[in-house]
Amino acid sequence: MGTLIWMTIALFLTLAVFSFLFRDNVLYKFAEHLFVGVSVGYTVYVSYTNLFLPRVWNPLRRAIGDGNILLALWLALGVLVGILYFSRFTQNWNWVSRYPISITVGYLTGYSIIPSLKARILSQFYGTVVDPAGDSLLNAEKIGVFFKEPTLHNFFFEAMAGPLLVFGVFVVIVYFFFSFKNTNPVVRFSRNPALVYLMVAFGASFGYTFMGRISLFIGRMNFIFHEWWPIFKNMISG
Amino acid sequence: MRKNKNAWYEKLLAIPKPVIYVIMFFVVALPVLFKMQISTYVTTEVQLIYDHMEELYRYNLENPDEKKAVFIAFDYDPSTMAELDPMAFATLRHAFLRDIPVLGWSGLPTGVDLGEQNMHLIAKEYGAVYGEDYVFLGYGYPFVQAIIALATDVKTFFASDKAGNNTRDLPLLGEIYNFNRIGLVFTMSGTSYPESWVTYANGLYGKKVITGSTAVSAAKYYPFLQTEQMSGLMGGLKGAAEYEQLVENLEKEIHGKDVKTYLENLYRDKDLSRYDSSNYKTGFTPDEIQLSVARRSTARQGMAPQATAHFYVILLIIIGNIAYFARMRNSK
Repeated sequence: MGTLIWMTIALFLTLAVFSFLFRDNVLYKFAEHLFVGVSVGYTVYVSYTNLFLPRVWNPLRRAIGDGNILLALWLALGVLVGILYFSRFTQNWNWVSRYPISITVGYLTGYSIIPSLKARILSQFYGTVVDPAGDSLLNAEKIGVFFKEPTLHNFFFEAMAGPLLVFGVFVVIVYFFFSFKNTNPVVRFSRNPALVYLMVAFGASFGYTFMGRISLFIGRMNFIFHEWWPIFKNMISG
Repeated sequence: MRKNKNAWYEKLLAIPKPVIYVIMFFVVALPVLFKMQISTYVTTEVQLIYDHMEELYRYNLENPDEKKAVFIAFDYDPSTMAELDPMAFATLRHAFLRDIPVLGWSGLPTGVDLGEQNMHLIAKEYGAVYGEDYVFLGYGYPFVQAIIALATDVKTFFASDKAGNNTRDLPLLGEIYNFNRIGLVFTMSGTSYPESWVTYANGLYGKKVITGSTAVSAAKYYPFLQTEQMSGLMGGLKGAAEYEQLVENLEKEIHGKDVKTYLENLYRDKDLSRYDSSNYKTGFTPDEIQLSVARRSTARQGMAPQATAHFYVILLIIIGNIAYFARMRNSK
C-alpha cells in the first residue's frame, strides 16, 4: 500500500509537470516549487550526512577522543578555512572568502593542467594523425585497397574516413581562426566545407538530443503504464 | 505581404501547439501501452562494452585469488534516470551474473540514494551479498580528489560507506581498494563527469573507462572513443537497449528463459543469515517479480515509441517545409 501511495504521488507530479504544455497553471507551479525545494533540502541533507559527518565531525571527535591532537588540529584547520567561505555574506569581510577560493582553484588548476592537456589536447591531436592501430590517417595503401576492391565499405570506412577526418579538422580550425580577413584565399576556401562539417556535427547532436528528450517522456509513460498501473490494478482487484 | 488565412498552407503553419503535443502523447503512449517492440541491432561501441566485461570475467576465472572489480559511478540523478537507469541495471546484471565484484559511488548529491538503491535492487535479483560482492561508497566528493583516492586506497577517502559501515570492516574493500584491482570503470552520466574520468582515470592511471551517457551528450564522446580513451559507449536509450539485449541473452543462457521461476526459487536453499535485511529483504512478492521482469526490458520497450515519435517529427518537418515553401511561392 505504501509503495502505491508514493507511486501515485509520483504519477500526480508527472501529470502536473506535463500540464505546462497547455499553459502555465497552479498544478505546474506547485510541482515546480516542490521540486526545487526538495532538491535543495535533499542536497543539504546529503552533504551533511555524507560529507560533514563522516569526513569532519566523526573523525574530529575520534581524534580528540584518542588524544591525537595533531590530526584534530589538521581537521580543524580545514574546517576553519572552509568556514571562511561564509564571509561572502558580509560586506566588510567578503574579501576573506578569496583565501579558500584561491586554495581550491590553485590546487585543482595545478593538478588538472597536465592530465587535461594530455587527455583533451595531445591525445585528441594524436588521434587526428594516426588511428588507434598506429597507422597514418592519410594512409595511401588504404586508398589502394579501394581501387583493388571497389566497395562502398572500402570507400567510406577504409579509404576516405581518415582523409575526411583530417580535412574536416583542418577546415573547421581555419573557420574559427579569426586573425585573417575573410578575403584570405585559405579562409575563403575553408568556409563552405567547414560549414558542412559543422552542420553534420550539429545535426548529429540535434538527432541525439531529440532522442534524449523523447526518452524522458517514454520513461514517464513506462512508469505510468508498466509500474504504477499494474500495482494499482492488483490493489483494486484485491 | 497579406496573408490568405484560408489557404491550406497557412492552416498547416498555424496548427496550435497543444494539438501537436496531444498527438505526440498518443504517438508515444500507444506503443508503450501495447508493449510494442522493435528489434534493435548491436553497435560496435556497445559490443565493446560487453566484450570487455566478458574479458574481465575470464580473467577472474583464471585468477580467482586476484579478482578484479568493476567500478560504477552513478553520476546521475532523477532528471536523467529514464535513460541511465536501464544502463546501470544492465551493467549491474552483467557483473552479478558473472560474479564480478562491484564498487560504486555517486558523484552527484542527488544521485547518492538512487545509486545505492539501484545496487541493492539488482543485487537482490542475484543473491549478491553486501560487503562481499558489492559495496556502495556514497558521495564521491570532491570529485577529482575522489578519483585520485582510487589510485592509492579508497578507504582513506571513505572512512565509512553510505550506510555508515567502517570501510575497513568490509571484506571486499580489504582486497580491492584501488585501481590495481579495478578492471573497468563505468560512468553513467548526463553531466561532463565522463570527461573527468577520461582525464584522470584513463589519462593518469590508464584505466579502461566506459561511458553510459544521455543521448544529449553522446555525440561529444565519439572523439574519445576513436582515440580509445573511452573503451565503450552507450548513448541514450538506444545504447541501453543494445546492452540490455546482450545481457538478457547471457542471462537466458545461464538461468534459463523463465525469469519468474528463477526469482521465486532464488533464496530457497540459501543461507539467509548472510544477508543484512537493511540492504534488502530476501524473497520476492508478486509485485516485485512483476516489476523485476518489466525492468529487464525497459530500454527495449522504449525503442518502439522512439521510432514512432521520430516518424511523427519527420512528418511534421516535411509538412512544415511544404507549407513554408508553398507560402513563399504564393507570396511572389
